[in-house]
Amino acid sequence: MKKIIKNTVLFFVGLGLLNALVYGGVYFYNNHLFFKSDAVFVWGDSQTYEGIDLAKLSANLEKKVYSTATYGAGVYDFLRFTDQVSENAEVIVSVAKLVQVRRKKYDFHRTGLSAKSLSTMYQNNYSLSEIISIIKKNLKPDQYIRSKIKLSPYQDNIEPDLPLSHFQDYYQEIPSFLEDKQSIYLQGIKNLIAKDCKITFIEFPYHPALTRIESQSPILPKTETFKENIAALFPAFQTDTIFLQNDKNIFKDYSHLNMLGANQLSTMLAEKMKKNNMTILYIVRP
Amino acid sequence: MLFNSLDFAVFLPIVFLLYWAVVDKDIKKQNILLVIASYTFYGWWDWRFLSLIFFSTLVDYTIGVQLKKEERHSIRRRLLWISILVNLGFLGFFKYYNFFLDNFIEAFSFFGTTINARSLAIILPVGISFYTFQTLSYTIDVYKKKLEPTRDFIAFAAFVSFFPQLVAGPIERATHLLPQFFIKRKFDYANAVDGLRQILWGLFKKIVIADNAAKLANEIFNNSADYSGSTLLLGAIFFTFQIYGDFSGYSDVAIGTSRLFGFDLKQNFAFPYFSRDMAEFWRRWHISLSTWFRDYLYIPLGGSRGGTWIKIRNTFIIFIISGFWHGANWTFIVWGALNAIYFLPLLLRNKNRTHTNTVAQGKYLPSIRELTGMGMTFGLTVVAWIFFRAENMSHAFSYLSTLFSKSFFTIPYFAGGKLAVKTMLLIFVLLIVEWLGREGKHAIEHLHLKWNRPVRWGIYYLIALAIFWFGGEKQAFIYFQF
Repeated sequence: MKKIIKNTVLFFVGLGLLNALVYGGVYFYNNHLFFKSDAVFVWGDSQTYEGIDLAKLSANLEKKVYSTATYGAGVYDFLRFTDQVSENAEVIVSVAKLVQVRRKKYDFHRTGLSAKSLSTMYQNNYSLSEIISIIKKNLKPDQYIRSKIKLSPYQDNIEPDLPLSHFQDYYQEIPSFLEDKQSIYLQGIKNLIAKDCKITFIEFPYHPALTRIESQSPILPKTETFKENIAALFPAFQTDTIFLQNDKNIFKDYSHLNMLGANQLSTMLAEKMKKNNMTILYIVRP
Repeated sequence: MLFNSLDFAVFLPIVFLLYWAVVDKDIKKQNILLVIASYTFYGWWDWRFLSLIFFSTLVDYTIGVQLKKEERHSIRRRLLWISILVNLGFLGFFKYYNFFLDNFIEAFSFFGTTINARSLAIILPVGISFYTFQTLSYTIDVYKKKLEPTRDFIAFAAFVSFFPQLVAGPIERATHLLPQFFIKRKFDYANAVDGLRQILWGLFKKIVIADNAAKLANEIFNNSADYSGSTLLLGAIFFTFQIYGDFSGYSDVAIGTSRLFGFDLKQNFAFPYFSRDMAEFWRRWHISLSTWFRDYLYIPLGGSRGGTWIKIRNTFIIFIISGFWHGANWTFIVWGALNAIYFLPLLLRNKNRTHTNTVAQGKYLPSIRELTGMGMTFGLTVVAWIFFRAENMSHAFSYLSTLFSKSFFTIPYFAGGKLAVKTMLLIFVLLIVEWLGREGKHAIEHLHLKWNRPVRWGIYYLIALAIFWFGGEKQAFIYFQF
């Protein structure tokens, strides 16, 4: 009896160690791009994924640009990003409103395990079951940093996957978790500051139909204040606006740009980034 | 609770430790613990259906006691029928009510009469087909005086609800399992370790083979109209390994878990895809169900004694009922009938017991004749599984007609080619390991004996890492729905 318990425990300890070894190897293989120097690293959710043309941005900046943007990216993913980028790295961070208001259960949260990031989540009122669900999602490392992204092709009209009512639901009232998510977001930014990263912030545009919903929502003042809170973290912080030409449809749907919009934005963003050395939040408007 | 869940990974060690470390001195306490553990295991899925198991236990226990007291044949017969009607009544209602109702309505509408009756939204209690047959075996054996009825309600309740095999078998005979609840269990290290090995291999079959093959089989079967014959063949082969990995994997975990508690369950799968003919296949596939039908249905009907027509009738009855046991759908009935058609030529030519030993016994490789036999049997099985997996009869026929069309000779193509290659490699590993271990009770029973500990552990680690890294998306066990 004692022998089987001893051997079983030994087996599982060995398995844990072996697994950690394999995990580390696979993780490194999948995400080795984080170790590239003289590159720009982009973080954001689907707005960033659809809104930045990596090839164009890279060509205009004359630097490699790698993106971790993914559909449904959440604040945990942001913390993981801030853990992984190296010191003095150049980063583009999306100040995404949907990251703040999206229901917790839809958050991606699949960008690897980190005790430090999980602890930050716990300290910001994420429950134990929510923490366990994040751990479960990350038992196998995935590749989430990439140098190529397939953008949505141009169409004369938007073709939304999600109806406007979906966003109306989000914007109806202030969600109980909003402040927690914003606090975690700020913690991530503080991590980047501590690493002395060169940070460029960007806020992607909504389609006018969604902007109307947002403008009538009690959430808007909260997300506006959040931007001020970000600014307060820096000794010098500027806000700039990028206006996209909208004589043609630049949207894929209510919250994402299409290829035309992404091309325009990437060109203009690169121009501005090359000229400025300060920490700037670029607010993109159609 | 699923065997491939975190819940079970926590549940099993707790019950194991309590069983051997806390209540090991007292067999009664061990049985009480097993009942509590089994009801917890089942109630984890839906506690409301515990009442069904309890009621079934109570009925068969009481009838068993009454059968012992009663000597009059007519009363004994009546008691047996009560047990059969109660058990099959529950099974019939939960599993077959809507099937019969829908077919009844359809049959009447064919003759121009409309019947206003609605299907009921019935939840099928997990494992009902398994524990119903297990309790029936008890009453029938007591009725036939093959078994002394028990007066120990707790031991009987533990027998009916024994958690390792409660929801998907193996379907144990009362004559084999029940007496084990009255014998003092001793912890046997070698038996427990081999139980753990069997669990490990069972999890590999379920998580690595079945779950990966399921994704591919689902994609191809669910979109069969879009694919070529060659792709449909691949889909059918993936399902063939899905169902084997799923069900034999479950059986391995069940048997291995039982061994941890000092119980011996019957082997349920004996490497069926290495069978040289269909008769051998049916001696190796879902053995506990096949032998149940053989002993409680086929033999009472006359078995293979009597004339040709009796043999044909009995073979069709047993295979069709076996098909129907799997589910309330015509596809299962046709699957059963097709297997009867496969089996009959062997039976009628008295060739159904040609291959009773293990293929290529004591050798590494099979002969050409054995290989041909295995290939043909496997091919027939793959075709039969199409009916088993299809949504309905028209789906099965359209699948088969595309499969046997000109597009059979094209290169298979479908979304998920990368996963298909990975799964095929894993299936190849499965086949190699199972071939090497085909003379054991499970594939890796003897694999360890020749090597020293670091090599053995290395193999266990490889299997465990494969489960973790190559495991497919978690799927429920197929046989839970039966």
